[in-house]
Amino acid sequence: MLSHARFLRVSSDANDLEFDIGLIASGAIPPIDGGAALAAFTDAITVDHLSDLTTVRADLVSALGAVGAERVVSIASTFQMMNRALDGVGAPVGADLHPIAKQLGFEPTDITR
Amino acid sequence: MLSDAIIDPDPVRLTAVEQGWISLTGTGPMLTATQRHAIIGAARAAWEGADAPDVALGPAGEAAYWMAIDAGGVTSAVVGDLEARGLDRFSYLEIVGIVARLSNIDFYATGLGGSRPSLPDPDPAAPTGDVAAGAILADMWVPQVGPVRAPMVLDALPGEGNAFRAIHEPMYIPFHEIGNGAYADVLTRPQLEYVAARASYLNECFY
Repeated sequence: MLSHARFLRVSSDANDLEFDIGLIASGAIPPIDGGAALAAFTDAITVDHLSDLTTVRADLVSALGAVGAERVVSIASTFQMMNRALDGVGAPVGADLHPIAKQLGFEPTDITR
Repeated sequence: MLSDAIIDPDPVRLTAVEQGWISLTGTGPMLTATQRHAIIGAARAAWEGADAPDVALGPAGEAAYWMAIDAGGVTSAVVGDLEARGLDRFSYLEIVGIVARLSNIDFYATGLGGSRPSLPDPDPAAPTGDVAAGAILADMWVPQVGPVRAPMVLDALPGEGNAFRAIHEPMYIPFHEIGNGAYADVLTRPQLEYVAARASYLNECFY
């Protein structure tokens, strides 16, 4: 999460986009194209990929087109893999990410990895 | 694979998924194909609502179950307990890699509105024993080779590490673009990174 929060900040700057990374935690609609549909789909598939995704998938296609929707699915599914791998091996969180952790409402000392 | 998907897979990613499924369901470094299929079954059972690990699979089944539904809740003590009950750290690492890659393939399939792939008949070959020389316990709960970098965390089992990256790169972004905040393909980098960060937040993965 923290590495990609940082990537999100850097890429938002590169795209002249004002993006409050606190939205990662709050779940509020992100200020990006297709943001509402993209957020709803990401949440739905991450929480339960075997649930009925029909509506969120259709909304995603409406917002981003089928090619864009496929790309969202690829990223959402890849981070299911990365999250499990990194948590499973106990990959340590670098101290350089602690300020971002605080911005997202976490105390770095509570991060056990 | 994915011929029934509602959204067509990208051809490059479809190839990566198909190749990933072949390696995932084949013989591993520490586990036979039959044992790997059992891990896949245990992870899928967890996602389908099993309320506890299958005791018949022992510590390996517990590892698969928790990796599927609550990887963020696994601790050093949990891994140590599994080891004390017979699951060595290389086998544990293989299980982590299996469930992780399975997540990528299964979530991609269901996300596109397609069916999850079916298990082939298991290869009867013995485990390869392919373990990296010099892998040591250092900064993680499992043996590692070199410094901790996300795409390399499985490299104590070289074949598993290679398979991990072979699906990671086409599904995410080219590795040489990771530091490029202006990278874009059909989506912008902020769109891609929002999905990555939000999914990681929901999974309680701090890395």
